Amino acid sequence: MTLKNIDRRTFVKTTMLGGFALGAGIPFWASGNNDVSHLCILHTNDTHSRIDPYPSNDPNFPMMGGYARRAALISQVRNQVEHVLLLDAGDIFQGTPYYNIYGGEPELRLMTKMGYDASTIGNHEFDNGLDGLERVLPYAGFPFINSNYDFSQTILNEKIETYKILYRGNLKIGIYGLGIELEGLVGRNLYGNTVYHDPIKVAQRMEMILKEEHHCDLVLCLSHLGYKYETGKVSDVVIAGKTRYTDIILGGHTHTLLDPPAQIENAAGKIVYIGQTGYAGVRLGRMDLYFNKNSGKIFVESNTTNILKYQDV
Amino acid sequence: MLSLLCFFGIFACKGPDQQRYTLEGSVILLDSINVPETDRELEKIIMEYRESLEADMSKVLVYSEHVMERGSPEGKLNNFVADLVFDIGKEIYQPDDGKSIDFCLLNYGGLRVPLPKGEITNERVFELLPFENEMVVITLTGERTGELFQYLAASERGMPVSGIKLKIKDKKPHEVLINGQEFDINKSYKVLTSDYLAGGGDHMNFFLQPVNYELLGKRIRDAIILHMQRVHAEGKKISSELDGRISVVN
Repeated sequence: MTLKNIDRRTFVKTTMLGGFALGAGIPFWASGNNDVSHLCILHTNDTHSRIDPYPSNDPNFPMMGGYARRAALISQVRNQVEHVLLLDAGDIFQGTPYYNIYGGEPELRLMTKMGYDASTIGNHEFDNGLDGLERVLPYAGFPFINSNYDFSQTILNEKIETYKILYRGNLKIGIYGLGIELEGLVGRNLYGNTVYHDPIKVAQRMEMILKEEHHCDLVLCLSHLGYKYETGKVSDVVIAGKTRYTDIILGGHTHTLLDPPAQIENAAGKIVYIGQTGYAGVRLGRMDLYFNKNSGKIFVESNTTNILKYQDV
Repeated sequence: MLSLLCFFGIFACKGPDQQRYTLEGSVILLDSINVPETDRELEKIIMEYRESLEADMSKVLVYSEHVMERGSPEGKLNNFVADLVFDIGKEIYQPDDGKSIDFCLLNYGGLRVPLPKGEITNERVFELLPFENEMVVITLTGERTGELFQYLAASERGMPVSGIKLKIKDKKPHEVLINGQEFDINKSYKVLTSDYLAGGGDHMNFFLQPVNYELLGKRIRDAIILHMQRVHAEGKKISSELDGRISVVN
């Protein structure tokens, strides 16, 4: 499959509206509106220090993945799309000897080179303790965002962003981050005085701040909670259902492959998209958002095929 | 223009907070077909790190007869790792009370990749067990040991064990043999595990109040490497089989 095909394949969201637009003959955004923005979100999760591709004798992913191949694909997308966001949902560390020997330095250096805009903190980011993470943080030329770990009593105090606002074209994008409960998952000696807070409450607070105070066009959650649990434990699906303004959740931890992204109805009856790309950097997630900011703040949902046609015009 | 207004009218009826965009999503496999070229500049940086690693990591430790994967309730990889860690633990352990280790319990989640058939490199062993976990001998009361078996019986995942035979019925321990002897709740037991699990990792809370906690001063990964080097020096290959050490009965 070529990249060109990838641009066009998958996930056509047909709505009532799309039907109307088609029926009317002229898609209304085509009528003199030049304020449609295209944002391309590229995302990874649980890359687990997989700097080199898997070896040829790997039972699951022979010769697949690797940072240099990921970087090439990202450059390719950047050449085609003006507005790109590149994000990671945690567990960058642990999984190959690179981490055991260098403690995360190459991973963060290389991700900086690829132009990552942000990452959140996965449980494996604690594997060399808070000291281990603090030591390699200077190699990351991008922020780590987490909103529900309180690091104020640790050496990471003020080194992790609670939330972050990024701008792309005419879009204002608010990002917050959610981390999994550490107790029972990470050794106490590793996470030290980090305090975990309920992700649901934190998510609700963060989206209020990003939407109502900062008026972000898009509210994005970087999560390392995991996609879904049978037990009802807090997960991306739970967060999606309990929030009102969060548009997209880019998740990790459960190594789930969501292709296309999952769609969950939120507390306001809107769709939240959840993306997760499996693990080990064998795949790169891509979401293309086509915004319409026509007529004040009334935006429109349409049929993907139409949008692509619009692009061709 | 009139029709445009009509459209917005329809939206307004649908609710005040309509989705403001269309989203198209996909996941792209990073293989040589989708991405034939890799990034040269990145390759250069990776090279700096790779070269010093490679010499060490590409060393073949041993050859494997077959693929070993983790499994539930038991798996070839579970058995392979638990058996050799148990063997090496017993070899190193010098008990004050003269009592040796009764059995070994590790965790399924700790086995990160399968072992392929053929060459097993140092690197593969690092990937199998990337964590810097140390071997620990935990002495548990009979009661806590009972909780351990309940945990195993209720677990969806096959925990690597050695030295025990467990039959599970309705997610409860049905028959438990330790070293061929029936489990006795009035006795204490010595369990070989990792410091991660001994600290309550994977919710193994039964380890949290041990009668005794003894670090062996050896990493689990190092034990595996030692075992592989020995097997190789004897001119043999590594292998493993399923022997029903954990089974589910009706």
